[in-house]
Amino acid sequence: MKLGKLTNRLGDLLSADRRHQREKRNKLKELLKLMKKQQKALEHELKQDLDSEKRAGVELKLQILIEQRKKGVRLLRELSGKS
Amino acid sequence: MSFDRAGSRHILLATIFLILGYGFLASPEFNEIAAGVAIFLFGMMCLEQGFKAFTGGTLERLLERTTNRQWKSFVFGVLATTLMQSSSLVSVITISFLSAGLLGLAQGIGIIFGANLGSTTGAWLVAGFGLKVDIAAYAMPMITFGVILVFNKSTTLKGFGYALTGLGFLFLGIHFMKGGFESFGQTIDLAAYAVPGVAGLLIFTLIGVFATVVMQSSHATLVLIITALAAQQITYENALALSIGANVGTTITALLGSISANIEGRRLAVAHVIFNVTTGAIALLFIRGFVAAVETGSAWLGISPDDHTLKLALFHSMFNLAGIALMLPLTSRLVVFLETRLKPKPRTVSTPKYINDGMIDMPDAALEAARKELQHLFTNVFDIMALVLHTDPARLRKGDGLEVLANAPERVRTIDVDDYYQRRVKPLHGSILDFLARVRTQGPQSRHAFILRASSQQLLEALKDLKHLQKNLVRHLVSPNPYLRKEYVAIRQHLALLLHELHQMANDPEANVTLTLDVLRVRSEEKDIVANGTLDQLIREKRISVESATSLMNDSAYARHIASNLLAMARAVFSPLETVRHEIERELHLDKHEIAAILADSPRMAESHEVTRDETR
Repeated sequence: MKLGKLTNRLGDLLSADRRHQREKRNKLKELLKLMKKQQKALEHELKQDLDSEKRAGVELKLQILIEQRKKGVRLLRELSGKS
Repeated sequence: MSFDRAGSRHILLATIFLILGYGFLASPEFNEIAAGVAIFLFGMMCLEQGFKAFTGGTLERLLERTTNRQWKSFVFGVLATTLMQSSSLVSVITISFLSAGLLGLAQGIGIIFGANLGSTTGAWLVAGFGLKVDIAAYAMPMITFGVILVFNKSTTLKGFGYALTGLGFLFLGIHFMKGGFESFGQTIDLAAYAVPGVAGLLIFTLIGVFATVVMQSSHATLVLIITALAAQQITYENALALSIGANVGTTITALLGSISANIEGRRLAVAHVIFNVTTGAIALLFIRGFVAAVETGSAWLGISPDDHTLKLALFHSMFNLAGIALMLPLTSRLVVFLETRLKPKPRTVSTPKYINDGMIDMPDAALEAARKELQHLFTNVFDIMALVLHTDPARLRKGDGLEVLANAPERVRTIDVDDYYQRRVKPLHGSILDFLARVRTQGPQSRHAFILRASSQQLLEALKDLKHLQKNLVRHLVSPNPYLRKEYVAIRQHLALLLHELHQMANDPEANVTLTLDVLRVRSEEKDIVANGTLDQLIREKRISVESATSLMNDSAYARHIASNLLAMARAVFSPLETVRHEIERELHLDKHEIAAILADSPRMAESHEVTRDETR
């Protein structure tokens, strides 16, 4: 194992905060992937022939999902120290 | 009855004190051995404390993740017990998790089998390392470094400190026991009291059971046996019988732990007893075969013929392995047997399903159980709300006939919400509050407990608001005024659909809770007849009287409160209590400005005016 990686691991072990941040970042990445998949599924659904009520429901879901994903990406940047 | 039990406990304690007191006066060596056992037990307590502080829920998370298959449960049991050198801690955590519904009985049994094998590593460590090395020399620095670390603020370092101190005390205890037995040998030869044959086997097995029940640690009994055997104070045959007894006696901790557990916990404790008693019986019945196998195994492993302590460790592992080989394939039958023989007590809808006193000391499991109990409370509230909304609770859950909700019901009736509340909600709510108040939480756990308490309050508020809403709902759902009737039908439809969606979400582990809740929030805002202009329009066009408009405005506000309280409750209760997950969800949820922006963009708000006009024409 490289020294950098080793010190990172040691740092994680000794600092609950660092451990928490890392866990949060990993979980968020996972969640964003799932959200992207869900977004694609909703976009695909919109291409189908839907009645107006159902279409409005899917559109609303998609709109909210896009907003939430934007917030998630921003949060991930902050956690990775890129903002 | 309780006096009798307490009285007999006091008598037992006084007897033990008297025997120990006499022993201390009569023999300084006995003094040393008894102190060794006490120090050893204290070391185990420190080690358990260390692992609890050190893991800070890691063990529990690991338990949740690695127990979806029985072999994984088994491996978890072996590794956790080997690492912590305490099968009791693993058993108690498993019982708590089983009671909380986080584990299945088959998985729990797998862990217990694994823990039995894991506990045999203790004998190997003591016989192979503890007796051959001057472990007291390691004990002192371990205790010193450990205590310094205990004073640290960091939970991880504090945990390390406790574990190190615990290990130091374990070593010191072994050293005292070893020394005590060696000096004892110079004055009295206890081996002279050895009983040969079957009688000896049975007597020493019972002594092993008794010693383990008193010390509540088979590990301590085994160390005592090994040190006595090393000092030749007991014979090898009697030591084998004692180790069988220790294996049976260790079930006492799980049995005591299950007293306050629910039926699942009790079933696991009985499975533990069945396994250990069967294993013990096999070892006793086939003792000659096992002894022969130990001889062969020892020769194979290079253990010298006169090294009885290592041979004892091998015997201990062998009979436990034999028990596992016999019982593991029978697990599913054992589960069926336990489920048919041990039936839960008859319960009412307001009897708690998940929470019980046995998990008070395991805050993570306890909070998860409380969360599940709140879902149970939601189910009870759901039934009452569905009845108030004139829908059949079972059909609403399934989503049958949701389209009918767009019409007014044929008949209306008033539901006695107070009566239902007293019978189905209040007792369960009280139990949850009492339980949450007694769980020993710290840090983020205290925050979770607070959130759960607030959620229960929100659920009750929603029910209370629906009770107030019911008065006008019953009247106006059959109102001769079609405009007024339509608005009350819409309120009823909105709340019933919300309940249906929440039920679906609670029962779908794959659901994107963050998305669904925000969608429901936006829909709820869209239905606000004050904000979307419907009320103004109805008044302006004189479709409803001013008095009816006031009632409608109040009732619309009640509906909004109900929706907002139910959604807030769902946010806390419908996803597992993981700090990281909750933090992310909190940050992804849309705030009120973002919701307002979506509503402003949405043609639905504008449409609602048109729809109202068209539909009532």
